[in-house]
Amino acid sequence: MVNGLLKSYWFFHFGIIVTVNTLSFFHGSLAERWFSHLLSAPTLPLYLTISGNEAAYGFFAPQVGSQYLTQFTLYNETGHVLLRTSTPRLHTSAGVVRYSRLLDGFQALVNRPITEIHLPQRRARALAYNLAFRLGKSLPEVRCIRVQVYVCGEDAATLKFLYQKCISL
Amino acid sequence: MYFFIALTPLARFRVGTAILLILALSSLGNDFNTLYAPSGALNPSLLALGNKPALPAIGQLFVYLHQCSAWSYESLILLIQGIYYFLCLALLFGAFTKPATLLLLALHNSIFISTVSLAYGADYFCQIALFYCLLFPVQRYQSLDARWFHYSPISEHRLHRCFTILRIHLALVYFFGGLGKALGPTWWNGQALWKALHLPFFYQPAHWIAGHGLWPVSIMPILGILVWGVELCYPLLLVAPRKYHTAVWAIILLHVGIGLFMGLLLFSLTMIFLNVAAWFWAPVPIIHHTRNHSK
Repeated sequence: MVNGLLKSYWFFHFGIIVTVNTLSFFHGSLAERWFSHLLSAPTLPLYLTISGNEAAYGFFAPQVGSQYLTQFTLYNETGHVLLRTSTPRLHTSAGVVRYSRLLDGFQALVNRPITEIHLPQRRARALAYNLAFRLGKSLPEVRCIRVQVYVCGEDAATLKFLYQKCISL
Repeated sequence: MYFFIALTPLARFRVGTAILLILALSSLGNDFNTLYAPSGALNPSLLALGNKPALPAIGQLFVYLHQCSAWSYESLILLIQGIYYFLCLALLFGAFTKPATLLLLALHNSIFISTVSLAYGADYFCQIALFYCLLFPVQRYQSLDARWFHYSPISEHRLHRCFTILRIHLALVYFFGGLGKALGPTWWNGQALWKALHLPFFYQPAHWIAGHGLWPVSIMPILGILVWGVELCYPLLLVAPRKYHTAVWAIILLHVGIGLFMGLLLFSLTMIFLNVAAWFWAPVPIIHHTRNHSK
């Protein structure tokens, strides 16, 4: 009896992992939407979260995603550049890795005109603004800050400009 | 190190997981405040926008606790970090292991996974290791719980089952990882590997080698195919465990490469730990074991 229950549990556990990962290959399809609806039952997302399986295992697949870069230029009252930096006060490589994950949100700015309708793009622009604003506020002598967003080219050597914003503090 | 090697497999799994979790938080240092604290570089509400995590993200938790108490953000950050380390130590020494693991699961999730925008592979695999600490009887070996509650060790068959579960999980991880890569054309012509090694944030040794023209560019396609080929074939280890040493070493080598050339140290360490635990710590692979029984 206990063995049967245990087997059923492990069947469920691995079955749900297989389902989540298989669905990741059919992103946007009818099957994916149907299964996603099924997986949105109250307890399943919690189980997936607790077991660490809410994300599929397709790291760097099917291709290595583009990397985004930020450039912050901080100016003082007379317009002189006080500081140029690519990250907001990060000191560890672990912090930089996580910051690079955050910048994936700038994908919404690629090949798309600036619009107020597209929500991911609005979020990306708000993110750029927020990063710059908080960085500027952390230094009292800063009066103006410019944030620029770039994406790395396919050859990983060239940079393509995506977005910029100047903020007066 | 001697202490770690002298432990039994499940105790080693518990201790190793606790060390990984300590590394996950300690490796961030002061950057924790910059990335996760409401007073840091990012607005927690903006981070949470568009995500519906099952458990609240730590940034929002800080805001909520700050509103409910008179505590400053700095004090709350110290408190949460203190609780996290305390729970890690409880897991490491096996003191009230199951409740500590459950609380640690929730806290690790809130800090690293619910903040989806900042999460990456290492966080999910730490969570998976922690989840198996909750399910496996890790408290029965070389722990304070075993001393206090007089736990007896489990049968060898159950021990093998635990590590078989870990092997099946890893087989699924690598199979889907490899399949995803095999479906992308850039993993066939070496472009993906080239790009992965040259991404500006991941880092230095690869750039140095490229700067000195030392990359063997012509073998990039072969290396790219090798990466997904090894991953895709990983599940075969489950049915042909006699050959597992070579294949597992190949995977470990892959993760050493990821750690050295891409700087994803915690991710590499976690994956090497899970592979070593799954394949090298259980005395005999399960298939050999059942065959011996059937004889």
